Amino acid sequence: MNNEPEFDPTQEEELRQVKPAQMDETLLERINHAVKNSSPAPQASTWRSRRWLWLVPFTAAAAIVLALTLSPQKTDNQPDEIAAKSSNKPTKEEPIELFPISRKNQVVEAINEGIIHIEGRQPYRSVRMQVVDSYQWAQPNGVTRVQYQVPREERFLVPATIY
Amino acid sequence: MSDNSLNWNDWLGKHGPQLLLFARTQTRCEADAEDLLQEAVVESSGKSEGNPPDLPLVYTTLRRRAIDLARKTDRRTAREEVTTERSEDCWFDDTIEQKETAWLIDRAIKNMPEKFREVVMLKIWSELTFAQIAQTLDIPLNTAASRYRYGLEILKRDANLKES
Repeated sequence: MNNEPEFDPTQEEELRQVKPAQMDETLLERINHAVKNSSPAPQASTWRSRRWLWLVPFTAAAAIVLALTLSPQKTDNQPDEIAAKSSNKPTKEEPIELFPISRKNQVVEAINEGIIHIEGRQPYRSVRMQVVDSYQWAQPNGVTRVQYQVPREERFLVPATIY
Repeated sequence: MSDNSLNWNDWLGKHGPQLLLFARTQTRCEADAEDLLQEAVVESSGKSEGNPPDLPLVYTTLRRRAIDLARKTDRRTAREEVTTERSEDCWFDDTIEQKETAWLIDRAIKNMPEKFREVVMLKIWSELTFAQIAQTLDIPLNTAASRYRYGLEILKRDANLKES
């Protein structure tokens, strides 16, 4: 209970007497499961893993010193070789040409939302469809492939007959 | 079972019904409300490093996700207009002797404009302060208080509650 001002104590008390409906056991279990699966590692193990972080700069420095010590002496013709190699590279990137290879619409879920009534019209059954549209493009040689997925939801009103 | 899971069971048992009630006011169907509640609890627990989060944070997350969901499915207008088309399930515990009152309040709450309903829900059943409600709904504190007052008047009129 809080110390907020009450506008109508009797009414507020009467409303509080009526409790919200209890949660379904299945939902309770589902949320419990989802929370446990998404929980990060406990604090202690995070600390344990972090206490080795101070080693990182020392290891990096040691690796650089080792690399400089063990690397072969630079020869005079090396710059020319590097220049020759780099001149073989294209100066600007070539555009990649992609072609569509597949297109798919997959129905993930169809939810029956029941009968709805619209004034002056016949009853309808409302069905909510969750669909994932997938598109794929690829280079002819198959090196580059682009996949694009868009989820969408549609609601269909199907005319219904009630007996 | 670890201490953390015990905490979660207690926390969900204590606050779950109120959170679900609020989720129901923010969505059109039961399935959406349950999904929304799960997503909000998981997201909020992530921000609290796996521990049960502060309640105002969960309510704020719930509301933000409800708006996202409504935008995504382009149903926001519909959501705000179809208060009378809601499910026939009673949102309140109607298994006790106050069954009749529960049903009256349930009907009055469902027919109430959304902006009043959400404030009344958060104040009465979630026991948030006006400051927390204002933050959760992203409205000024005075607006929260006046909406609450109007909401109570509507409830008194429609649910035939006692005069103080």
